[in-house]
Amino acid sequence: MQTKQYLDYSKGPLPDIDFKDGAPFWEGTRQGEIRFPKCQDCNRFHWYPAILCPYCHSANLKWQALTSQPRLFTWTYLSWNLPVVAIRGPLIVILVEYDEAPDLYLTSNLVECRPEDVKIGMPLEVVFQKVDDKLTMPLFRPMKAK
Amino acid sequence: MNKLRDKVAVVGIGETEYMRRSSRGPREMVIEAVRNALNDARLTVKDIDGVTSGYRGAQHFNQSEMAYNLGIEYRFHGNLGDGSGSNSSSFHLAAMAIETGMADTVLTYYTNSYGSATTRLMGNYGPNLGIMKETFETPYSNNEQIVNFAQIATRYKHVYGFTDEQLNKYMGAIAINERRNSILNGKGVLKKPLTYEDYLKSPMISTPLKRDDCCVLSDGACAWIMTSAKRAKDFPHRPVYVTGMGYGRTPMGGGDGFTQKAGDYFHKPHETPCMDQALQMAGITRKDLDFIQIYDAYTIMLLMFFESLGFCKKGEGGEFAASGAIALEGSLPVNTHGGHLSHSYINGASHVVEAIKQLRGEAGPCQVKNAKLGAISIGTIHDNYVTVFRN
Repeated sequence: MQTKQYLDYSKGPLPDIDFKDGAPFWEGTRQGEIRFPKCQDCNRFHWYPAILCPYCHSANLKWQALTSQPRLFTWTYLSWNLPVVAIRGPLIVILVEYDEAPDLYLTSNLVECRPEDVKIGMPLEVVFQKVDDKLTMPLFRPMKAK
Repeated sequence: MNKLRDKVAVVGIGETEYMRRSSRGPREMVIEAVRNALNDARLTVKDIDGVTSGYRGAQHFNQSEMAYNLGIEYRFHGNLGDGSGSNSSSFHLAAMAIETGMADTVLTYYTNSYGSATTRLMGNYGPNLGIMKETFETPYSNNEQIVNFAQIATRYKHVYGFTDEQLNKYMGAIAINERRNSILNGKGVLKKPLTYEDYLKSPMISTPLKRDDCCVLSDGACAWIMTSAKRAKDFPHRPVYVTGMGYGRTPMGGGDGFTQKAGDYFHKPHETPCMDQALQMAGITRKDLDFIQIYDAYTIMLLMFFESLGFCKKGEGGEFAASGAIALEGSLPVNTHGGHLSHSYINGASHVVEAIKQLRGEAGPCQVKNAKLGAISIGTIHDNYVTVFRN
């Protein structure tokens, strides 16, 4: 488990991890996994959490971990003095996509990458930043060449 | 739907002045706009028996308080759409209410009051975007609306293979056109001429969007009054008839839908059918429109709407804008008063007032010659309301 502090999230705003519908996501990140709800009837992942599968409307849903390679879908670099930049410094906001969950994007921040090096479609790897005992935030960095 | 074609007309319009930060709050501005609309139609509050309006919290003025202050007794009340959508949906509701006898004369108003509210920068419309967004997007700073549209612009540029220069040329053409219109209009918030060089020097806020790609958050209020087509002929101004209406929605989860995968991420499945429905009801085609006022929170948003409302092919919105087609003398003048980018950000309400002025022939230096048919398209991501007017 990564414990490195990539970005300062401590001053908030922080996610409400007690929010019941989303709690399994944070349970997953504490265990080093990215989990999304998946319909056990049509086998499609969806996001955000719903009562029924938004595709086949089954109630037979279960949270499951993703195992495929995350890739960068889109991004933006914030450096102007928006309120959040004053707190955290300049940062890159991204949407991440997964082949095995083609119906969703995950919001995160890209770390260990300069804005001039960001490329749409680049392979990413998740890194987990522990904010406190309850909250672990998934961030992404460029996949390192093996 | 065709049963409602040309059954109701707009007979009164009212507005306040528009400014960055007014010393007045939403209540004072709404009261002025409503009184101006009543005067314009030569009506009194006693004549109003229906009210529609969107309500967006502290920066607005809710219907019952408005009626309490002005002494309006009404027997029909409706509201469709969160905030901005209510401006276009007001015509859909009024048409149904008036044609079925639920009301004779319907008032709609809208205000934005950033000066008196605690709203943050750049179109973040407050804390009520839903717990999904608060939980999964806000902590990563994916909550300010400019950040959402910046990611859309980044992906758009990638998918259609545009260079930075091309994207700037396209978005710049929109910003410059709206500034030109706002200057001609004379009542817009931004009046300083904008050249392409100025646009390029505008501060980068969220790549690739610059300050001049963003709407001008502003204070002001608008109101309008509708009645039956039969009665409309007896009013002092030329009636403007509601001739086509269309609505569409794509189901999406989360708060505001910006991070949801729907359509191809730029063009939502409901947008073309919504426009088609409105035109079909009006019995016209896109080429018949003399102008259109489109919701334009950011330059990139208009590029996508030109494509998804069917005015050009996907990926060609930029060339469409840069060709001059959207100018006052072009084939489809867009946001003839200067839009949200330069005139005022009243969530589409000043777009409505401008559409009515155009069809009355009262748009001054921004007047589109011989304007007979015009449309408004008010929507963001989830849904869209199109209304077509004729004179």
